[in-house]
Amino acid sequence: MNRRIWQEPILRYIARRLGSLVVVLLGVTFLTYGLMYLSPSDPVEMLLQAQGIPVSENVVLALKEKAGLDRPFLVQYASWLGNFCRGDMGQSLIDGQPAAEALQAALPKTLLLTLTSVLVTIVLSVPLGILTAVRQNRFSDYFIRLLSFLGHSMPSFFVSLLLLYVFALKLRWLPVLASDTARGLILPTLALAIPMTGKYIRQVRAAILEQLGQSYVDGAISRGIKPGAVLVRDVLRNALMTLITLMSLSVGSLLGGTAAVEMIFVWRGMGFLVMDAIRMRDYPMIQAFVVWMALIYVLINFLVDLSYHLLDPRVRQSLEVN
Amino acid sequence: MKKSKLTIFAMLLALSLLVSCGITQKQATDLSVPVTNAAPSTGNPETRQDFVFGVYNFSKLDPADSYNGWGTIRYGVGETLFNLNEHLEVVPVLVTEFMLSEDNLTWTLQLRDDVTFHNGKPMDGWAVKASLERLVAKNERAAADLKLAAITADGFSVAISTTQPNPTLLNSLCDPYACIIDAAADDGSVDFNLYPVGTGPYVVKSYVEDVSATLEPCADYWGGTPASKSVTVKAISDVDTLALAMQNGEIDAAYGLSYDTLNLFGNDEQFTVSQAATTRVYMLFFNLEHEFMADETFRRAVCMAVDKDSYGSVLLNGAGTPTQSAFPAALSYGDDSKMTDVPDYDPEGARILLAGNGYKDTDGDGFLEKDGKKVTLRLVTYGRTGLPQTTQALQSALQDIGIAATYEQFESIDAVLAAGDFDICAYAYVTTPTGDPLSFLSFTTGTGNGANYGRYSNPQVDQLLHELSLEFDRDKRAARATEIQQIVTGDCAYSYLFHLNMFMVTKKGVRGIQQSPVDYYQITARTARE
Repeated sequence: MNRRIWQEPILRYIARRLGSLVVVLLGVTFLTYGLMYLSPSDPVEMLLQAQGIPVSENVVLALKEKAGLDRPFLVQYASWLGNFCRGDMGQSLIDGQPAAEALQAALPKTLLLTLTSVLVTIVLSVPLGILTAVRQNRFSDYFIRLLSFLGHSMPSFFVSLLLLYVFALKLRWLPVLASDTARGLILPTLALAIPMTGKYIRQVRAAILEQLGQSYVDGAISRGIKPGAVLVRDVLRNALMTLITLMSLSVGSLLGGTAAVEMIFVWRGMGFLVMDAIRMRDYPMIQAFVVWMALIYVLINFLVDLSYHLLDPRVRQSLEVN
Repeated sequence: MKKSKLTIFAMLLALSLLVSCGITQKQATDLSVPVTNAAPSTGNPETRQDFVFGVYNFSKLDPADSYNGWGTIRYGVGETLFNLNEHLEVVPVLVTEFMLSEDNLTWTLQLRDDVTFHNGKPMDGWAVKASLERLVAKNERAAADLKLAAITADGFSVAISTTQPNPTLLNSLCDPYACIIDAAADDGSVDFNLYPVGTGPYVVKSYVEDVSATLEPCADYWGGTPASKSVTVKAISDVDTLALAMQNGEIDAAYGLSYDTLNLFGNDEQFTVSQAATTRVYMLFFNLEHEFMADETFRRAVCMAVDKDSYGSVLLNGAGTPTQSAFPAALSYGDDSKMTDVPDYDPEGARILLAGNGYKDTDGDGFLEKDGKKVTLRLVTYGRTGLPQTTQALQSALQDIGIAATYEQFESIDAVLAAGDFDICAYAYVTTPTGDPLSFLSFTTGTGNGANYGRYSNPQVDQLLHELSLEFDRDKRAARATEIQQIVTGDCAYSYLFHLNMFMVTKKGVRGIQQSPVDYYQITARTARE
């Protein structure tokens, strides 16, 4: 009986989320298509401008007609939507590659880079964040916060070039071009993890300090529970909600690709794909990316909510009451 | 140490800113003419090595698709019937003889009989016919350029008829889109855009989209044994990474490097830098329909404010060759000395000229007015290397002679130009992609034509363009192209600033690859490292 009560709201919740996904997809794809249409250039113009060779008006018109760009906006969008509903995300207007194929090729690389950079970030930032909180206003706190400030203030492209310069060019420990090997994963992972670690050390510290100031901590310690046990069992668990929310935003952003890092390390992930598509106004590729991003954010929000549900009994109870 | 610091400083600084040759003679050809990629190769299969080529722009390889033919030629996968030599003159490659009919409508080409495609099929007349017919069916530009009426094949001979006399047909056959491929091999069994079957020294072994292409030598290449054991073309779309990979020795040659790195590699004995003035000209469009710019005297003063020498040497780190002509000096119609009415750099003279024509600073704000109206110009451009810097320098130069100017940079400039919403636009055009002046001159200076954004109109120029479109004699074509430029620059309708020197960096000991004035000749059968 209890199990049914637990399951029904969750199923209804999932159904509601799926329904909202359709609305979100329609909204963002329409909006994106509209913005692209309003932009003063199109893929044909961008291609010809990049090549810099004058061609006749007739050739320009023929190229636009071939790409379907001569049709009214709503017809173009409806055509794209119709194909999308049939599982066809269209083809690149620049090189004819199917958009779904391009996504499939880029996705594993993005997932891998996201996974490794998030893992490194967690492994570094959680212990260091806890350490700075526990050792508040002592030398180790100041020192780690200074490093985290430096790490957070450096943009990832800057970190990328520094890493390449030091580890590839000077020390020659790692190659500049090694995107298809495990060794090639080290530098892009670090380039993403260093700024994120800088950010999360401070976030973990703040979350832990907030919990340490709660009366339940004093109560537990006064009842004779060891501070270490309180920290791990209660403080960390309560701080986890904040950290999961923050981390989910980073994961969503990473899954959308990290254009600067991907470009520098020649890592052909989603960021590389979308940068190229935006530069060339490649509508089908941009739309495919937008669909991916909408899916990612809806899915991540759902997973975060689900984790709240599992971690916090108050959320679970409110769902059951509703 | 000092060099290291300079290197990182240069790198970080850069980051922080996050020819016709209308073949007139009805002649047999001389195969001793050295052509770009057809000289016999003497590669030794025992000792040859792998070659890695890092490129900024990586492309697919079906020559008929968009501009992908550039990749097909650049990577040594395909060849055209004719090539352009260093003077951008048409020279035969896969052809031994070529004749033009008396009515100027049919070219008959005698093909080499020792050329085979990568799949072993002979490149005969039927194969060439099928390749060209596939091309015009797929490529709008090619169809417009070639003006094909019919192609007939017979053995190793092919006759190409055009719908009207087409003096630039052979030039168009030099365009990378006209790379000869085995059209019958495009049967859907493989992606022809990745694995085309051409006649070049290298065959595509594997192609990873946006990443790399691995090429292996063609065993039966008609031009001899290719000199490299394999060629890997790597896509490196970040210029700093490309430079780092070159410095680190991970690639043997790099194309598409930032101009900031010219000194870095030029001063290092481990590398060789080859430069060539290309046909890409940096130029100014003047909007002749706008107030002030419609005044020829005013335009002349603007031209006098432009310091072309400094723009090429400073703004592009020495990679710009100042010019008076739309075409490089190596071409018969690119002789600067014949552009006699192009104003020299003379800011003081410009001030005097403006003052003498009623442009005065009446309100004492440092800027000129004409008939009580302040002179303000709108300068526009887009993001190609060197253009924003050129436009900003122009803005400063104009202000120096008292002309107020605003500056705007657009990601895509064509809509702004088509709407006429500018006074001066800095633009970079490839003026002779296949060695002929007609196309560029016609599109930019012919009345009402598509790229004539300044709305220039001169009946004399239109007449000369018409004559040029029908003229087969090379010398007469050059004379007309020169005359058109003389009139246009004399009218101060355009200002041609400088030609871009493209460059390529190779490791010491690399041979058979260097920057060519024709930007699509790179990997050849002779490309190799020691």
